[in-house]
Amino acid sequence: MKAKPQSQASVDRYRVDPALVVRATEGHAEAVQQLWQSHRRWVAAIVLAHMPREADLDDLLQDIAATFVRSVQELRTPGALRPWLRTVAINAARAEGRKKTRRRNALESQAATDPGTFQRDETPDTTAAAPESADEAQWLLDLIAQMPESYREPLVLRCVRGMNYKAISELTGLPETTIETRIARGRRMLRERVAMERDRKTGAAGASQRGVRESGANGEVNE
Amino acid sequence: MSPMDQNNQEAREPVDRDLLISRVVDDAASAQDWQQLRALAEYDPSVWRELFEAQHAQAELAQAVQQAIAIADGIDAPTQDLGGPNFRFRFRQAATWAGWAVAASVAVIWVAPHIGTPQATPVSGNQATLVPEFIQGGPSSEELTGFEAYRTPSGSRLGELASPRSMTTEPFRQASTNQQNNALATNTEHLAEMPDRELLEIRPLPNGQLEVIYVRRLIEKAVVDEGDLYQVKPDDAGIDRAVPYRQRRPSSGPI
Repeated sequence: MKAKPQSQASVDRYRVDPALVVRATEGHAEAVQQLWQSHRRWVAAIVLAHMPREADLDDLLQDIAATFVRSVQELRTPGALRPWLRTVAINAARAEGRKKTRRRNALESQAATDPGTFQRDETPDTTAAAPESADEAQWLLDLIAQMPESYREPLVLRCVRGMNYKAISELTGLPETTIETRIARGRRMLRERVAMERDRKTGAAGASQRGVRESGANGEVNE
Repeated sequence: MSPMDQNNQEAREPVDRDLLISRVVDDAASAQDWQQLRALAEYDPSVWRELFEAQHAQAELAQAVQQAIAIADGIDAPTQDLGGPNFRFRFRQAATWAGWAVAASVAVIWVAPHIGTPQATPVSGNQATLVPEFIQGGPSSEELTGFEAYRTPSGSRLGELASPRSMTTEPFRQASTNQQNNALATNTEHLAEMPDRELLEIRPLPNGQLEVIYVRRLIEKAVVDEGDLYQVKPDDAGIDRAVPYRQRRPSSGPI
């Protein structure tokens, strides 16, 4: 059994114009710009799905745009544009992840050798805390970041306007059925995580309220 | 399990609750999907609640993602870094043609001693048919200063190559003996001609016709001794020089 075909218009939104790609590979600045502008949104979504939580999407996109301008002229066929651009985006996001890890390790080893200079930040990690304490959107994205990579990318791409199963399948090189399944499983995972975090928050808030009531009651008794 | 196996397994799994809900959320559910969902909900009404939660979660997530990636709209490609319109493309093309030029130089070096002794060029008869009609009626090779013509043994022209009297061919000429020339000539074989031709110049003639000067690239094969083959390579000053070709021989390995 197959899903109902999604609208063709949404598939065409990110269709590559071969003539435009050829002009871009010939070095026409306006074609390079036009090509980048028509693809930068989904590129941002790919980076968002792969980058470390603390990375700056803006900086990464600037780097990718520079790489795009520098290397688009080496493209051999227009069909290779999207897979190549996706690889550039993923590599940039992963490189950022490695950089952050190295920096963190260096700081930790320095802190271990000289504990006086570096003091551990004792502030609790609120990135995965309940939505009331953090920006709702960022909280959701943080939860997404904790999911397995193979589910993360299709799930985030599906949120980009015009990216339906077919478009995501063309972009990632995976069968449409696989994309559909991963999106469905990813949504289930996300719902469960959201429910768990909210329960935890509600539980913690409930416990804290109970604690206040108990201490208040004790106080009354004591007084 | 390999990623391929994982993909296949995912694709083989029967339609389930998650998939049905996801399709409804994506407005991709068929009539059959809806029928299955209703049937499922008859036994387990919590499906409707799950569907509501899935739609709500998707709306929230889409909003979060859209909000985050909106930053991309403000990032343009730094095209001002391009070295002017078409600079890199032209550079690349020039590099490609430079490669061809080097190849042509090597070809000239191979066949240089043979030019001027056309009777020694072994060419099969049907290769003469590669010459286009307008060449037959064009100017004679004597009129083209600096060019020399190949001729088949029967006298029909094959086309023009650059004069061998260039700097790069001199060492070869000096090094070659008549005996070597004869050996080279008898071992040279025309294989084919490249389909594209490079136009150099078009000159209008007084009679209204056009004189077209262009480069034809022939693919040839020759059997030569290693000492007779020279390559054009830039020296330290960047000037092209003919240097003896040396084959790479496999090393004898660690002793």
